[in-house]
Amino acid sequence: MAYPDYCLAAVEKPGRYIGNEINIARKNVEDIDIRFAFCFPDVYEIGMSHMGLQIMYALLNERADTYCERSFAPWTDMEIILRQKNIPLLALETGDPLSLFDFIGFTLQYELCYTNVLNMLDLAGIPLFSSQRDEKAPIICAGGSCAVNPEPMADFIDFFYIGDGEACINDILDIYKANKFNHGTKREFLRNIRNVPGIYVPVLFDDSQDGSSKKTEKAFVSDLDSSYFPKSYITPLIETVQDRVSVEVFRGCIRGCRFCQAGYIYRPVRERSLETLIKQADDLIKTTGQEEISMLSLSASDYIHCNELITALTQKLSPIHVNVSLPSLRIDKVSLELMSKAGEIRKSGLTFAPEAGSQRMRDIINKGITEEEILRGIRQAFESGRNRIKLYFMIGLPYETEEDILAIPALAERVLDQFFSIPKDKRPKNGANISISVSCFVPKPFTPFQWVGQDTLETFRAKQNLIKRNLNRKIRFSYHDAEQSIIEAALARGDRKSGQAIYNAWKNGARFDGWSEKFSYIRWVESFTQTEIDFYAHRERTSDEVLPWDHIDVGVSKRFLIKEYNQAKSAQITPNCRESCGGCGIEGCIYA
Amino acid sequence: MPRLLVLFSKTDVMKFIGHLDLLTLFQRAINRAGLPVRYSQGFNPHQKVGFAAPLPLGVEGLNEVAEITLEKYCEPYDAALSLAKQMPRHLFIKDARMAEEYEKKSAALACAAKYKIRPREGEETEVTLNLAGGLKQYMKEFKIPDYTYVSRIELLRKTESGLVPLYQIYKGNNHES
Repeated sequence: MAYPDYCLAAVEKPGRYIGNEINIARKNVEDIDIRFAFCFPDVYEIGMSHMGLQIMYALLNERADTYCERSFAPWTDMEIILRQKNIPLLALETGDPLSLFDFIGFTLQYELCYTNVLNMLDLAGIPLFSSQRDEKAPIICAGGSCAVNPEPMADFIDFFYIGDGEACINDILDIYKANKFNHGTKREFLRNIRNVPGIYVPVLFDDSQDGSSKKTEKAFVSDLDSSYFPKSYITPLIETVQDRVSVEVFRGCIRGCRFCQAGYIYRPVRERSLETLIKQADDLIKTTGQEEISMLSLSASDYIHCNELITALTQKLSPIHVNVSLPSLRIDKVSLELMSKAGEIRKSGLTFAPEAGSQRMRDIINKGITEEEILRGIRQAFESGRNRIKLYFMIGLPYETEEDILAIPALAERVLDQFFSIPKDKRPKNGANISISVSCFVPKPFTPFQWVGQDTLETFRAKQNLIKRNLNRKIRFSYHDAEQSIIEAALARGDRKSGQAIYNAWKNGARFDGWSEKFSYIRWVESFTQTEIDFYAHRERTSDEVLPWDHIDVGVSKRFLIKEYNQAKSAQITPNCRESCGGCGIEGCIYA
Repeated sequence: MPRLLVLFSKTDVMKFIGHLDLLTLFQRAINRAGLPVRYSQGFNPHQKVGFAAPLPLGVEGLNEVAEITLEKYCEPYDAALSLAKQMPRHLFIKDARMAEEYEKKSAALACAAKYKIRPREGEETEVTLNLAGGLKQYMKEFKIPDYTYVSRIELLRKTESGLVPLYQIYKGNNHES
């Protein structure tokens, strides 16, 4: 079965729903013991840009007893037709309804996709609350970075998988298969997996505890270099958001920016060797035929062999017209040299993230970069022929003053001054094109700022206006919707009770909340209450408060996070892990 | 430069892949097949691949023509076979031949096409329409709904003796089928 033609002909982008891509797994369902639907709760083009999906899909399909298929959130035009015609949500490979599967696994990459999880279950005809699902219903599981605080989604999910997907997924499937052959119940299966690393089963959680009893430790791959990596990626038939293949250079980050959740939950830093990366890149290019490969990491230039890697890859790939791209670069000399090496010199634009305008603020967030370095980097960018510079900033950071806000337009102006201080014949002829993009700080679990009260809507708006009023007219200004960031914060730091609000929001029509044109703040205020939004998002928490995610252990100690928060108070920076170990408590770290 | 003409069909779900995406699909298939494709010169080199005429989204094509400029001559049959192996289901490579030097680009030659239109079950018509908006006009004129089954059977070119299938060679006797 597949979606009928009249459905596909009536939607804006039918290519999202047809499957049939290059390198997908084709198996005979009769030969399969375990059917797994990997679900990405956003639109196809976003989901197919996610490397985790490619890895998990290939890994699961390595198993002869398992068939992993995919499903994505149907866009609103498709949803209308599916509901009208009573067509359930299907998996792309076989076109079978999701309700026939053994597992439905969601990846939670951002909080504002939570209502899409509910919507996908509902479109599949599966009861939303785990308490309402019987033995016949698929087992609903969830992983991804948001799973580190599973509580807001705990009412809907049978088990959460916290940590690196490659580490223990096979153990889970082995246990499932054994349980199935022994005619065990779903509850028995959940009991059997609860001690596997990374597994959290909400219905088996004894919430009488104070957070000090048994914690769920994240699953993690200690040796990334030898860990599973696919030989091929699914190559989509329609253009995706990140329309390129990517290899993961390293996992984790040495930097420790205090607002950044990824910088803490993916610790310790684990690198891949040069040889492995070159081999993986080569495989992917050969099997996909794609024309660009991206070096994925949280901070590419921090890879020790970055220079050699780029040299080797460009030597190998430029002759066959494959571009090597380097996202996530810091504004330093090393990065610029790397970029020109990667042949990105011909690109006219550069994006940098100073995050804050004043040095004091950058020290508070532990960004570890000085204004001098920023300006020097940008000057070099201008001198190398680039004229389009985009700078990312954040507002609403802890201890922020009006001066810190005003430092943002001031820094942007000095960037512009840099351009004009370069002799005319040495700078790009078509003038400087500088823009700043300002987002709203969202406090996240497992960061030193997890206790911080988020700014209110009024404060965010006042700060946005302050920037706008003081910004040189030659510099373009864009900012992120504060309303979305507030709901993101409420969900990120929510607890078991937040599930009801997510349900209400979905019931009231919330879909694709990450898309500003679909998002409605009023709807969320009505789904929560203003008091609850204040409680979850805007309230400053004390360090002795029991947090909803205290029963999850990502390996970084709470003591360290408190210490970092205190360091932030006095604008003290913590050196990066390579310079000296800050004592975060993570096990298996090469820098400890 | 040698030009390879590829005859293919695009049916079933593949009719929902649009023109630009089809181009990317061909380029990636060419990469995987390792065909010696020619790249354009200049700042941003791209493969010299094109189609005789874009197919509207949702319309299947039974005899579509792609044109690939090559760095060097290669055996059309081998090229077709290696390309066919790289195609998704429902995109079927039917034949390939080298373009004759005197032949214009297929995009310049294609001027009309024969369509099969089925507004309702059992009600089927075949029409020949020009490629410059002919289908759209026809659908509008006869008030045929958008999601009607439409199939482009054959692309056509103009000759002294009237409209003939685009892919066939008409000058000289060197066409083998």
